[in-house]
Amino acid sequence: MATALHAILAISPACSADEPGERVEDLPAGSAVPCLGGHAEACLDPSATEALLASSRHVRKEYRLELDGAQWLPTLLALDSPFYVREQRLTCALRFGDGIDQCNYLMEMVLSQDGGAQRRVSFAKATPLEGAESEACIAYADCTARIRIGSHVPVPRSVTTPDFAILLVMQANSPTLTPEFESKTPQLEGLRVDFLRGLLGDFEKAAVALRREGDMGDRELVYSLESLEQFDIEYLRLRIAELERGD
Amino acid sequence: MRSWKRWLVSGLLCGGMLAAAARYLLMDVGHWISRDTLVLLASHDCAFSRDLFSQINLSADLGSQIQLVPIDRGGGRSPAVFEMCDAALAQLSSQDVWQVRFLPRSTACHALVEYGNEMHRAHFRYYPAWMLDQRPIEDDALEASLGERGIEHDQSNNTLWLPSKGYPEQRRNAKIVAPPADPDDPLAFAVGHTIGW
Repeated sequence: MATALHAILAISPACSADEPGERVEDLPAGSAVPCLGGHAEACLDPSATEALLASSRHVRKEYRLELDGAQWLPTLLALDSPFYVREQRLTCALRFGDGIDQCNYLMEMVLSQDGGAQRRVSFAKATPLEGAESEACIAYADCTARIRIGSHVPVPRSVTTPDFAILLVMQANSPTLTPEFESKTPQLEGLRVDFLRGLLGDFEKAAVALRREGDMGDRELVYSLESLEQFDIEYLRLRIAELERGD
Repeated sequence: MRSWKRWLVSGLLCGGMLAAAARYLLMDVGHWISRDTLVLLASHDCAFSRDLFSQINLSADLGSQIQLVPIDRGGGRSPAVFEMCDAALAQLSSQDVWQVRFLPRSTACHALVEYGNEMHRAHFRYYPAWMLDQRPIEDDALEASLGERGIEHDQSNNTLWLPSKGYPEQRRNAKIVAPPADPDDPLAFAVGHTIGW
């Protein structure tokens, strides 16, 4: 009984109504609760969670630099896809994205086993990097952490622990800083369908050119090609269809 | 108006006009590059840009026909940008562009990069990008523009070569590689997205 009480006392301070998640409580983000400066499915044990976060795998860095880094490609592609928590992400942008030029932040996530083939995001916390601490950036980053709770992500077979943590450095850019959109229009909603069709043609050509390379020893090129083929092209088609329907 | 005041006002006006003219002549990079020279806008963080840049930088034949212009969208002016700047300014110096000899290196580099950024913003979606006489060259017109200068572009491995000199052997098995990442720069391993897209 005493042990259970200690556990409850230890966990309780981690969950507070005053934490940042209050700002986005009406987002369609499942049942996330504020926890340890981030968001979780339910209150977590602070010491266990902090221990997990202390050994977070920097998957983008491992992918690029480590010998066995290529194993992280499916994880990265899943998290980098514009289809990943798309509706919620767009809601975050509508509510908090206005006026942000660039927002760089760390995204720490705990991925938990739940019996399925993929891992479930059970905790997510965003921390703006130095120089990116504007109110809008903090709120936007926090929002993009909250919406991840409950989503699923593939992980390499080599990961066998029930819970483990990863971190990503996120770079959220204003549309005016994105090469594809720069100088065309300051607002994405103003993009014309014919411009997007041109962009789609460029993407398709780029994918063919990269695929023609055949054996690409460079992981960054592999990442670019897989991104194009797995979601960038498809996402542009979706956006064009949406604009044509007047969504 | 007293005569000394007239002289003062006239002097200031003339001085201002002279300063504006000098600035125009010195700092307008459009005047540094001859109108019939191809221009390559290249970014240090783009593997294809860097690959073309180094080929042109290492070949006097290519370098005499194609002017390198670095772009730096991040604005951080990393050592890689200055490295590219030095190569581009050396090209201009060798063509007796007097402004480059006259200006301090950092000022000339700043002007060159800002020119590259401005041209890129105005005309292009991607890099590397090509221009002639301050106008963009469309993808389907590039081969012809290069061909007019006796240059072929092997798209299979991003190689520029001159048929008169034979295919460069070292490019036969060339692979495009991503620029090395700085392990201390957190943004070198970032996952980017566009807000609201």
